[in-house]
Formats: sequence, C-alpha cells, structure tokens
Amino acid sequence: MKRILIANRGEIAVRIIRACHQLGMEAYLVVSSADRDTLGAQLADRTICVGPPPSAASYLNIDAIVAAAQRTGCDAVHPGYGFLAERSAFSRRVNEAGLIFVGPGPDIIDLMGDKVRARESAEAVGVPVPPGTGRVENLAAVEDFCDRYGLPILIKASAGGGGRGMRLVRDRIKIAESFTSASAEAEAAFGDAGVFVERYIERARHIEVQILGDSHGNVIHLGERECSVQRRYQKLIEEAPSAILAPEVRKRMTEAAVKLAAHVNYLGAGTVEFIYDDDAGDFYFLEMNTRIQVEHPVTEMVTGIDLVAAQLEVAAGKLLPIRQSEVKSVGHAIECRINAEDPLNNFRPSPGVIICWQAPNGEGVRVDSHCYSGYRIPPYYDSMIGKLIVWDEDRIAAIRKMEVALGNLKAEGIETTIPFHRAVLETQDFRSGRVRTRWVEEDFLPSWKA
Amino acid sequence: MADRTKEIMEVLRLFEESDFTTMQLELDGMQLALSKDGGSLPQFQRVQHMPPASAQVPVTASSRAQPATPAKGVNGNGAGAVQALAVSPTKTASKVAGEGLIAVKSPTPGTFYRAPSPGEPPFIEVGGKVSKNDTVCLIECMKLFNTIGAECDGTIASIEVENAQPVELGQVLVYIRPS
Repeated sequence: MKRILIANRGEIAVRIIRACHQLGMEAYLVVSSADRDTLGAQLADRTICVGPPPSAASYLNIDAIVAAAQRTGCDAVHPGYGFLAERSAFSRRVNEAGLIFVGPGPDIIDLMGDKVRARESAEAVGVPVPPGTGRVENLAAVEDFCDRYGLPILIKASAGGGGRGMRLVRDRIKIAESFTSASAEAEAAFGDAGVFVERYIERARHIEVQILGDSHGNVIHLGERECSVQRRYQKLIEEAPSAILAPEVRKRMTEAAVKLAAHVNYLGAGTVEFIYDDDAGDFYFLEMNTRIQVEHPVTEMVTGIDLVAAQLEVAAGKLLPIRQSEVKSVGHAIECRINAEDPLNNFRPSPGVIICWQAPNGEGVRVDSHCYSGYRIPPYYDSMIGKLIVWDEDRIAAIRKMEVALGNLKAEGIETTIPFHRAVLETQDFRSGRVRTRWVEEDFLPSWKA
Repeated sequence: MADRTKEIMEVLRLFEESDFTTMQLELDGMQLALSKDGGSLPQFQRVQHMPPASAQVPVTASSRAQPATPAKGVNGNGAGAVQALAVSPTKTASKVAGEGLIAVKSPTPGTFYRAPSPGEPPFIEVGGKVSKNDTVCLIECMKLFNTIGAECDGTIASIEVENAQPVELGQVLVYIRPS
C-alpha cells in the first residue's frame, strides 16, 4: 500500500493524511467543488474533485470515488467516518475494483448495520443485551412486550443510527402513535421501515470499547471511552477512561467487546458501544460501529497508539502493532467537539467565514481541525469544525487543562459550542462524573439558560 | 482578446493531457465548462441569477470560447455574492417587489428544497394560497432542515429558486401577494 485515496473531508481528512505521511504513503483526497481550498486539499499530495457541493453528488458518489481511485493509481481507500464509511455497497465496490478498503469487509458492515442482527450476534456470544425483541411486524407485538417488561420502552429503527427512527415511550396510550411514526421515520431515513423494541434504561451512560483486529485472527481492545455528554444522541464531550467504571465491570465490558469482535472476525478499528445502567451498575450491548470514531483521539492520548496508522497497517495485511498485554492506559484524556453552532440559540448552525482561528497549544493539548484564519465553512456539511483534546495525569488536572485550552481557542466570525463546553466543565455534576445521556437536555440546558 | 484566446488554448491543452473528464473554470467574468471521454458537462452553481443560455460553453478542440455574461462581484467570493444579491435580486423579483409583494428570505445559507422529501409534492406552487406560518420550503444548513414559513396570508406570486439549489443568507426565496 503506497497511495491511499481518502473519501472524506474536514478534520478527519487532515487526520488521515497525517497518518499516511507518517507511514510514508501518499495521500490523495477527494473533494467536492466547495472544498477545493480546505486544509486537507492543501496538505494532500493530490486532490480529485468528484462532484458539486451536495454530498449526495460528491462524498456519497460511489461511482465517482471508485473511478477516481482507479484512475489515479491508488491502492486503497480510507472512508473516514460518516459518508460512505458504513455502506457495505461501497466497501464491496472498492474490493471489486481490486483495491483495499480500509475497514472491515461488506459482510461485517451489513451484519453490524442491521441492529437486530447485531443484537443477535452479541447474544450468541454471551454479551449482555437489554430485554428486547427481534424485528416487530405489528403493534400487537409491541404491546405484548410492554405487558411482559413494562414501560418505558425504546422503539428503534432496525437500520438505525443517530436517533433517527427512534421513539421513547413512557405512556401506554402513546404506543400506537410512536410505533407508526418511528416506522415512517425509519422508512424515510434508511429505506427500511423495520423497527424493534428494547426496554429503556432510565439512568443510562454511554460507554464504548475501542477494538482493533488484524487479518491474522488477532483482536485486542484499547480500553473504554465514556461519551455521556450528548444532545439529541450527538456526542459533545468524550473521555478516556470512564470516571466511574469499577475495575471488575471494565474487565467484563472490554472482554465482551473483544469476544464479539473476534466472533465476527473483525478487521480494522471498530467500536463496541454499551449502555451502562447507573442503577444496576451493569452494562448492555448497544451497537457496533465499523469505522474510526470521531472521538478516537482520547484513546490515542491515554494509550499512545496511533489508531489511524494501525488501521492502515492492518488493512495492508500486517500484524497488529501491539499485543493485548502491552496495552497500557495512562492518565486521563478529554475531548470537546467544537461545532459551528450557537448554543445559546438552540444550537442553530452558524456557517460562514472564520475571520481569526487561533488554536491553543502546550504539552498534552491537541487540536484536530481543518480550520484556519479566513476559512469559509460551507453550509453543505456537518457543523463540526474541530476537536480539542487534552491529556493530563488525572481527571481533575485534565478538566483544568481543558478549561485553560478552551479559553485560548479563538474562532472569531462564527458562533461555536465553546461557551457550552466551558459552562459544562464548571458544573458540579460534570466534575463529579454524575452525568447521564439525557443530562444535557434534562438538567444542564434548562438551568444554563435560566 | 488574443491573450485570452492563448490562455484558453493552454487550459484546453492541460485538460486534454489530464486524467479529468470534466472541468469548470470561472475567471474574470468568463465561465468555461469542458468535458471529454463521456464525462457529463458540469453545471455552474449560479450564485447570482444570470441568463442561463450563455452560462455554459461546450468546447471542442477547434471551437472558441466566448466570454459569458460578466458577473460583477460574484466570482467565487461569498461576501460579494451576498452583497450583489442584496443590491440586485432577479429581474422579475425587483419588478414584482415594487407591487407590494412580501419577500420570504433565507435566514441562513444552505440548500433550498421545495418538498419535504424527494418524490413528495412541493409545499407550494405559484398561484397557491398560503396562511401565515404555513411552510413554504426547507433550507438545509449543516445537515439540519429549517422549515421556512410564510410571512403573511396570501397567494404565492413567484418562487425565486430552483429546487435543491444553494442559497445565501438573506436571499429571496418566495414572493407572496398578501391578501
């Protein structure tokens, strides 16, 4: 593998280019016509325009991207996250074109993309899943489940993700309406109206385990990340390790993740996500993401392992760079996602020109971003403009370092989520680790705005 | 003009030698669209409303490119584009605006959609009646869909943007004749 085509944009394109260059590989980048002057385009060895600004015509244009890879003599395609990263059709087409897809094969993507089958795979190897159903075909099946397990329940899209096609039902008379609307939303978003039901966990945290697998049958974990600071199912702050996980639970959780990944012969970097029940002190399988995650840097900061470089090496057929017994997690890392959104106005998108961009620096401070002074953020793509990551010896020191770093991060000309992060870091709830996935919406925002 | 012709010939030569099958170029008021080997002719993003007829100039090795209508202040400069739009909206728009029509403007840059999802009927048609706050269109900005409501009760006088086209902040989307 000497030349990689990166089928993505923004900060992750910059991140992958850096890993390619680190390994002595050439990095070619696809761009839409709106992205010709991005930082990624400046750093890449070559850019190939694959279409107009709307992502359906460019970053989701499988024909154009595969053709670009072939025409420019690339050996492999790195999909990043989002866009085509979890489309099995893309992975298949890349393979059929005789190129390497940096990630698992289409069958694994399909298996984990189908939330019902993924749940069944977890159950098959003894990974705990919350009480739930397979695909439900009618309202009666949902009501049966409620009779047996009670409310509240979550109705979820089988093909789902990102909260779409998902409904929380607390009230019996809302079951029918929620079932219909979840189904319709799933059909609209994923072209598959299939839904299933799970018991809703009232006081839930989101904790996930980073996995790496190679093509020689080795699978290791790199510990967990806690991502409970979320709004509308979108993560905003992530950390490694979790502030509250007991060593015994951590051991069981990471072992469960490895067992599931090994069961499906996982190749590359992946993440097994769990719901942690604060009341029971126990965890359940949520889903597996078959790609690099946005929040991978916190794991890199505590383990010292370059996850994107590892992805490229195992894709090339090499052995994992490290054994499980050699993986050590040291200190504490926190990541804040910096979005071009106005947190004081209901997180309204705020595209436009960044007149002045000034990133903080210093030991243990990392900024993954594609921004620079004068960069015009286009309105066509998502609002994340960068990630601020800090590392320190323990959680308290890391929080302090993040506060200083947020104070030194300037993004003038647009609104950003920086004020939101500064306010969250000040709260007693966050500092003491008493944060659950609905905390931002139910507790923090109402009191912050007041 | 001789210099310009020379430049264009140089561009053609580079394009011919490249791996690209399509290309578009905007320079000093000139727009050039090229395709070869079955590549589909690129469509220009019309930041400002301009006569479409001369916007694309298919070029073969022997033909000469004609400069398209000059587009003042909109050459890839976003700030300029907003300004230009604020000063001179479309011809029809400025004409009808004088007749007491109410403009619905985009609150954000983004992409304009006439229907809730592809395949569904559009929210409004010209001549249709709307009540205040009825949805007239969607603007997608950073993957979020904003519903845009009618400013007043009335009849749709014109729809100023084609479906799925980019719009700028403050650009007029729809004119309503108040009732």
